[in-house]
Amino acid sequence: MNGIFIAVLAMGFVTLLTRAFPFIIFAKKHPPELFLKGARLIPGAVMTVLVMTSLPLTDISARPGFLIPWISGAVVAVLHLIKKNALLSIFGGTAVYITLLNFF
Amino acid sequence: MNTLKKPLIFHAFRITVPVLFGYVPIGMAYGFLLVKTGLAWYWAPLMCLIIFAGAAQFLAISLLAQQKSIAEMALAVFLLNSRHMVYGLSLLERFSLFKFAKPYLIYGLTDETYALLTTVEPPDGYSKEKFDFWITLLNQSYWTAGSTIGAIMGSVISWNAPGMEFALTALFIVLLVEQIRALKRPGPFLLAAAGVLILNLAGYPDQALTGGIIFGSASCFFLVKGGKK
Repeated sequence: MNGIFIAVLAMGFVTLLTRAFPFIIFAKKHPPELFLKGARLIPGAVMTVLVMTSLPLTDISARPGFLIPWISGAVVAVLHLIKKNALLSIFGGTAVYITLLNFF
Repeated sequence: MNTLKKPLIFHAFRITVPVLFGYVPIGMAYGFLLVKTGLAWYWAPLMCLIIFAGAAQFLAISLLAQQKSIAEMALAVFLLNSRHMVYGLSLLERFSLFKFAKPYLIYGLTDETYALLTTVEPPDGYSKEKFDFWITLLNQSYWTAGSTIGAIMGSVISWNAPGMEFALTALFIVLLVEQIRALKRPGPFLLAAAGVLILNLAGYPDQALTGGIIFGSASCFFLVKGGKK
């Protein structure tokens, strides 16, 4: 309980920090162009890491199966590329995952 | 004349309706998932008040479930939210004359609120600061209400579908597709993927999240330096 509360506070603090950052640092001077360009790319890198670390990579004997998460993940990506509807992609892919989990 | 004027919150509400339709169902899914990972329902409203960032709150329950250290959780959330550093830059001017609401507006700067505040203007004769304040407050209340409803539903309904947690992976894949669309260049994705793969192959799968995020984010700045201007 206490540990969770401290963790939540820490995550809240760093979130506030990212939002307040430009108002603190660049209130008077203009931000360097290089910094802006680099910062715009970071979410792409972060998202890649988040996706890859939530899928089995090297452990073929992974539970619950190696292929099920990859197939379901591909369904999410394809749905999102075609329909561009976040909720549909998330729930569609999750439904495929739950179904495959029950059959294999 | 004045009696015909609708209250400002009415105008703010009309503009935030799309956010209402987005935040409530996603918030409900979030609250539901939160209790299914073993957290008590009240963490949903608490996180909506203390963190108030959609993707980061999903990441938070995943990190809490994996029992990562506080430093790892803070770093992962910080880097996931690093896009907000850029958001504020386009609002420096708009917020420069604001007073009472400014701290709250900065705290509440989610992706959706940012999108609204950078595009809409209050109707003639209304204060921009109060308008922005209502937009942000309404958005936060949609998100908090949806999350709390979902969490309470999740703790009442005993149905526990194994595999529900895949929704988190699915959310990250959706956000990744959005990023691929937005950035239109392979560098950040390939370098981050290489970092994670190398850490896994080298036998450090537990360090892949933090290590991959640090390596991937740092490489972004080199990509700019070496890339096109």
